[in-house]
Amino acid sequence: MKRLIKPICLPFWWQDFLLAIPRMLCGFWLAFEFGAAKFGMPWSPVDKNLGLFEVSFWFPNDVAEYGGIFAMFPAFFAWMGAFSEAVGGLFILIGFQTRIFSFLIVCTMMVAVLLQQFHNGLWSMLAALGFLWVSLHNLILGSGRFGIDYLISKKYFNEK
Amino acid sequence: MKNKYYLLTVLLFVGFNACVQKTYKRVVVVELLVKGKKDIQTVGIRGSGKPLSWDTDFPLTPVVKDSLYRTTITAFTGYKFAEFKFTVNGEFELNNKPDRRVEFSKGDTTFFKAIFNEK
Repeated sequence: MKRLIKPICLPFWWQDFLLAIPRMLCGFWLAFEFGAAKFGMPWSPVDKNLGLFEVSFWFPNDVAEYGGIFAMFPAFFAWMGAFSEAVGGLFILIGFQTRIFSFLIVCTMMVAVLLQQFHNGLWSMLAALGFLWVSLHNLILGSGRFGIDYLISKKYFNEK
Repeated sequence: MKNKYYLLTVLLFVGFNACVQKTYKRVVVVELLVKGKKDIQTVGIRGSGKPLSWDTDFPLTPVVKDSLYRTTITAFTGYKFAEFKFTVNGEFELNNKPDRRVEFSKGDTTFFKAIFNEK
């Protein structure tokens, strides 16, 4: 658990601060824009008619079109993808369990890039690629100094 | 032990299916009045959510040629609304303006009347 939570801190605080900006922005956009539109969160648009933790009706159909294992378990993969965006985005934003949710987002964005947007060209892949790069950084570094993981590490693992 | 894992897996996947938003049958009767256009070949609706699409027309049939057009759309959706625009001869209305939006009524059928390119 310690290895999962403990962030790698850079030599100067402003370096961590700079890297926290894309992490927080991506977390915010995933949780409140992309994720909330297809996964029922308290702040999801009311007219989307989504119950709490419900995935949009159209998303499993889209996922099934990827074929293979996605066609076998579309509800599972759709729910996991939407969950990783909406809930994962929130956790990434506050820097709590950063590596676990970064891993989920990396998986989701790789599916989005390779199976959903690849045939539409590079421009269509840019958004998913952007989230993928930021999540890869977070997967390696953790939350840095500006996240809950850092406070937990400091308190419970006696780490700075 | 193996059976327990199978059971757990099945329960898990059934559980995920239960977490998918329910869909309802929505019927929308659309009536469009077209003013000031002659020799109209096609009138259609383009929008989000099946059976609509932003790439191809969902056709309206003439009630009065070059004037009044009508269609009935049946959709299975979880949303309370649909967004769309009309086209005449493949050309969109309301350029650089927001899409039209219909809120589904609580009854069986929703009726929507509009004038082409006017909101």
